[in-house]
Amino acid sequence: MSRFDKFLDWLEERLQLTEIFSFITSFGLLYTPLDTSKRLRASLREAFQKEQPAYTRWPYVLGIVTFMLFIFLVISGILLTFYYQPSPQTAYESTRFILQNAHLGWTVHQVHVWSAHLFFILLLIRLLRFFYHGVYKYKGELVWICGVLLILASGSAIITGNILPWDQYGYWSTIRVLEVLKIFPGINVLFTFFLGSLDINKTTLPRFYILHIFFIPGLILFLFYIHFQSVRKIGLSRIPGRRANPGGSVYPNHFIELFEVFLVLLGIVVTLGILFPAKNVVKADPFQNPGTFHLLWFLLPLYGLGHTVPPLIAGLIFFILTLAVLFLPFLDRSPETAIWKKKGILILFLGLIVFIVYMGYRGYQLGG
Amino acid sequence: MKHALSRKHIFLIGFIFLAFFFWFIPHSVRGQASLSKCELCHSDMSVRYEKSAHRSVGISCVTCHGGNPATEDEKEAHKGSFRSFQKKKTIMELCASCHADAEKMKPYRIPIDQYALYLTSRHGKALLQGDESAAVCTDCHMSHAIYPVSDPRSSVSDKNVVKVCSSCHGDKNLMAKYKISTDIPEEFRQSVHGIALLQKDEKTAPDCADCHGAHGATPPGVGDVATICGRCHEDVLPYYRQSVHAQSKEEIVTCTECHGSHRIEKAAPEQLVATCKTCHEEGTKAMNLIDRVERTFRLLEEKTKEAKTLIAEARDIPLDVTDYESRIRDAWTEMIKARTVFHSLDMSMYNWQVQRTESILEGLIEEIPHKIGLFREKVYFLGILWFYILVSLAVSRQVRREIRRRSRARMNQHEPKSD
Repeated sequence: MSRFDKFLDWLEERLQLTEIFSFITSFGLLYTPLDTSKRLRASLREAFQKEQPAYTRWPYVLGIVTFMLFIFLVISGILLTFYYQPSPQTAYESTRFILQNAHLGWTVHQVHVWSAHLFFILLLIRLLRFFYHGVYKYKGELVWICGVLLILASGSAIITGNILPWDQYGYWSTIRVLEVLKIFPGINVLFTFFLGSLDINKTTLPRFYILHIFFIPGLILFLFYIHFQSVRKIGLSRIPGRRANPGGSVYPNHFIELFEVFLVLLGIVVTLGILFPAKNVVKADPFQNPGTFHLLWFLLPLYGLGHTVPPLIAGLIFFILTLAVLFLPFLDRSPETAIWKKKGILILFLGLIVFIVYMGYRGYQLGG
Repeated sequence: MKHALSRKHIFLIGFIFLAFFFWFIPHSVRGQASLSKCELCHSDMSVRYEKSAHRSVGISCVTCHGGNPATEDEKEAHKGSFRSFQKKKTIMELCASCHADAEKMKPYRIPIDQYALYLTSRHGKALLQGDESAAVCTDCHMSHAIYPVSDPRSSVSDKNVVKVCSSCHGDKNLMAKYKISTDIPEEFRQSVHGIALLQKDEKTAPDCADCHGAHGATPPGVGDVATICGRCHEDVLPYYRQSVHAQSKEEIVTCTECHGSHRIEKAAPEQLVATCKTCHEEGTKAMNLIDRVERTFRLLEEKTKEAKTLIAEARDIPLDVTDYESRIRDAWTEMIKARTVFHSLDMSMYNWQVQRTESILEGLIEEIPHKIGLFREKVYFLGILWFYILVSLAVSRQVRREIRRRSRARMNQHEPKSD
């Protein structure tokens, strides 16, 4: 018996280690539920010997990849907070310090920015996957709702994070974001609560900061937890007509595969950061509009529609669409999980995607 | 159902209305204390006088004008001690009666030599000779709307001085008598001084009075020009005094000879040769020297430009450029110093200064591309990263294959037993 095993035993007598480990893995590390009545090593051995979960096949990889991106975001974000000072007087200078002087600060910043955008994109693709495979059907309702809420949360994380460097781009694009979001009915109340007004003032930066580093990540973590708990309860979604992956046991095969995905993902994020770095050049100047930048890309459809029909109606349309997507499980109650067999709803969904993409393009054309 | 407006509501509305009423009345009545009966007829003057410096220390119409302020009758009011200021000289004397009195001016900390100075000025001398168009106190300071010089409303504040002077010196009919050019105000407005004062709002820029004097206004004599310019350009003055231009026994060349008097332009290397040519002939020793100086000027300017573009590029990446920025400021200071030293026409001093500037700029031009290059190597870092990732993937693939092979072997071992 090694020293570590002895220490583990000593802890085991005083703590419910299996419970603690089970709770930690509830945020997305180990799909297999743990037998909490057993000791940690026994229950882990049991879990590891189970067959590999189905998400080791490509369509399922999106979930674990978004989780890894979230880990990237948390680690790089914590590193950034060591240097960042959230006040209009110091934000720009401290960001410049991170980019110029702090060791690896530039890379950490780029990884944070690109992880955030990839996180949002992959969540969107994952939602489409959920729809295509009918995950939102009976028992999968919570998984779907968590998926939609995650998209909204990560969108607001990007919006609140955008202004933090306090450079010209961040400042003025946030002004435009707030202008575009104003057309959502009821959003005024939300913004007046969080900002005190619909304009950027001296409290905006610290408030956005606290939303960005505390409330929104907390919400995302909570949604991850609910999602994972729900998946443990109802089992992984299976592609209709296909078997689960007979790839061997969880340990070591699954862990090796996770390591591979992690490496490739890190490579992609760092490559994007180095080739297309987010710049931070000029300090924000409320009296000088640089005028040459685009809106945050995922708000372009809203901008496009807002310039096609009266803004109030555009806001209403997107509000209803969001609600409809959020509560899709309760609107489509037929038990048929194979979506391609139900022409009506498929066409409706494809039409919606085409509409949103077209509106985004239109928004871009109109200078959004 | 209750009535829409209950008694409570009516009471509340009434209370608010009354509160507003009682707040409003004192506000509307305040500040109506009247000057005197004078303003019944002279309302325009009293409005101008209302917020002036004299009014604020309690001087009333009668203090200057005399007469009876209590009556509404026109003839009664303008009787007795009333003064009408028909002659400009009386204005001068009236102002001096207080402003040249040390006892009276003590509390206000205003100098009392203005009257004495005025008498030495062209304006004062002409007035004493009976010239009624010569400027007197009220022509510049206004008669009623008098403010302290520091007040922007004052007619003689920094920016307004030019306007006040040009109201006479820009008037062709008036100036014809004295044979003074009326282009001077416009020339000043286009000069570096004029642009700095009127367009860039620089408080340190000189107005007319800073060179010509305010109360003792007179054009500076040839010998005084360098002293007057040197009051602000004090770093240039000692070098100029050492030069041949200043020490020549035959013909002294002053600042205005090269830089112009009112229309002073920014010193630029392009103008150097043309300016010197007005006196020196081509091919002389002086002109050869000037050619060399011009070349160094251009060289320094080009190098500054190059260093600045490099800094901008580095800033864009973003690299820390605070050190470079402070060094290019140093180079700029050294270059200005070189220009200053040039006034002494001592080439050894000048060359030394130019070398200092050049060495700073060259240091920057060598150093920055090196640092930018180091940063660009991040792209090579990508190659190393992906090589590492691919190697790791290959290794893990081998490991997985090995694991699968072993587990299959184990299963094959187990199968016969279970049978």
